[in-house]
Amino acid sequence: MDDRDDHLMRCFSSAFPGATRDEIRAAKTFDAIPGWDSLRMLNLAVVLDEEFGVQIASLGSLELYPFDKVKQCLTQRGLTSTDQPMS
Amino acid sequence: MNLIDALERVNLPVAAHSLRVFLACGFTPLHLETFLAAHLREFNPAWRIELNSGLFGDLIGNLERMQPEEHDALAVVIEWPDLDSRLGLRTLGGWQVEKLPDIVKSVNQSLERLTRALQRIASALPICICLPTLPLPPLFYTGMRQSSVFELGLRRNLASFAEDLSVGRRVSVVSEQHLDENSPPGKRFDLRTDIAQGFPYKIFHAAQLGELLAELIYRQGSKKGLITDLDDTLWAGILGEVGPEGICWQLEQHAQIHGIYQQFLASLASAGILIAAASKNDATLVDHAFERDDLLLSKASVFPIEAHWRRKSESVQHILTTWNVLPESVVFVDDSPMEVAEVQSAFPEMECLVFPRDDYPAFWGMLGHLRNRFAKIDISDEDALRLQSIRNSDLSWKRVGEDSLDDFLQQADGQLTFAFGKPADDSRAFELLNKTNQFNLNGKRYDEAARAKFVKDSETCLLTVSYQDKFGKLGRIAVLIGRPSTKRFIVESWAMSCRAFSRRIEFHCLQYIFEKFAVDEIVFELQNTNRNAPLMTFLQQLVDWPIEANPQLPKSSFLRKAPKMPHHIEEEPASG
Repeated sequence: MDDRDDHLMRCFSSAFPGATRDEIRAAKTFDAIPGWDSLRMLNLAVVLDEEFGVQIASLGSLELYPFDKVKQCLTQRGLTSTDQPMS
Repeated sequence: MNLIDALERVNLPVAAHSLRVFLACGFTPLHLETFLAAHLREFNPAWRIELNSGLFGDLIGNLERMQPEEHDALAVVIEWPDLDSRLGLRTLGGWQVEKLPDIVKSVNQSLERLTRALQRIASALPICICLPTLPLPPLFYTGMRQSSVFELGLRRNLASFAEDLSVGRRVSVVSEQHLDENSPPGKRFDLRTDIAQGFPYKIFHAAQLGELLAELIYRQGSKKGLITDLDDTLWAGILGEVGPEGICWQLEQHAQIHGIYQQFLASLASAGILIAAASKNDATLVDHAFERDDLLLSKASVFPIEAHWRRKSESVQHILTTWNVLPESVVFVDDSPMEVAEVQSAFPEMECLVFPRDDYPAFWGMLGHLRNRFAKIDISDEDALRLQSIRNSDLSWKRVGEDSLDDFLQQADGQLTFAFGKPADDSRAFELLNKTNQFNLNGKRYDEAARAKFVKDSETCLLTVSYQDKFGKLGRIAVLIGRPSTKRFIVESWAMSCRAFSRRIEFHCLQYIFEKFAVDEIVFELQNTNRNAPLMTFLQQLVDWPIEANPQLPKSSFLRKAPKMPHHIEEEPASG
């Protein structure tokens, strides 16, 4: 697991404290993550903004393994963390 | 603290003790709730934070419906829409000129309702209130650069509301100045999340406000004393070089910050904070310097004054012994980084600060920092007596050897006054429990929430003890919390001021309990805090066996071991 993967997992875990890392990774949609609710989604959105400086439009509608989708999104934007701001 | 840190802290495994806080606000508490809970857990990881808030958009109704007995503390966050929804952006009630007087009138009515609701709760619960932190919308015709008469009226009524409530010590109002310094007013409001989620704060503002509310709910204990250097600290100049007339602290001599510092220390001293001086100097010269009548800190407010050429840490040790306080309760200030390092190395627990004589922003920061370190909720009679009683102790009691203690105590005309009661606003009693380390049964601290719990518990009682003798008054110097049971009395907390040592007051306390409750045994909820050796030693001398957790003291053993008790006893009627 690289640093960004670990950092992203920390973001997801903080927003969904009832879910294990495997459950987060294996969830096909956000609402399949144990403990999902709209408040936790808001927390995740703010945490991603704070940690990576990125606002992902329609975050909640990302489907098919949202953890990987968010990671892919960060990769496409060349982001690692807020101390390496988006280009 | 970022949101991810706050969430991780809140998500830590639940702790045994719960702290039930009602967060009253008219908006969705969302991240403010997370930050408040996270900071409360940071202050005390042993707490499980149970945060409740009421219905969205009904701050005053939530307070009117709230059951104080179900909570330990209340945080109220008021924003303009809570006082009149037309001052918010989620409803469209109109800002026409003719409506402005009615908005002011309606805000006043809301403030009256709020006052009634909070007065009902304040008798049972500690409350902290935050007045509106967000800008008023652009509804006044005078423009944004000028305060309209309506805006000024709103702010005047709000200030009056806060002033009336803060007169009672159980209501704390968040300092707007402090919040402004830490969360710039222009960067607090988030219109997007206000409209989309009903949460009007930027994350940074939520984090700052959450921390501030947690600090007011938690209230860390304040320090007891400050030890200051003299040359180039209390005054400008080297006394040995320029003499008593050459030192200065005034504007025209470019030494104003030393005058401000003197004024600040005099203010601390007047609030009962102990002030001492430690200086590598000629003692006679220092005496002469303190005789100058333009000094803003009088010699009477500084005790002891250690002036010699030995190490600073030696002076500090002597001051601590005279005050009978622990290093962690004291702040040391000196302009020399080397002296600060030497004292810091001898007393790692002590906060040691370099006096920033050439750095105005740092000096300003230091004053604010020190004011927070010595913060008090209110000033008690004992605060005025503290320094004088230490002086008296130093002059009279310390000269007495153990052999002659009996005679000396007998001649001192000591009088102890015992009072039972449960007054909710007895700040001195809880201050003693919270600040005393050496003669403290278990180090148990009583924050506002614990105090509220204690007041509600009908089984426990509070005993306070005051002392005076021919050398002067010590005021209230001991506090004991306990509960009678069949044939025994269980002591939950017990603390005695270090100023009252060597007077056998502790023996009198136990004798009083044996007699008052007619019990055969006293049980102590003792815990070794590594700092309460004086209390452990005291208990050990009363029994023939090694004391352990929750030791029991039979009356027979106490009567056999206790020395002659010299003081007159008076009892005050129970109150509270």
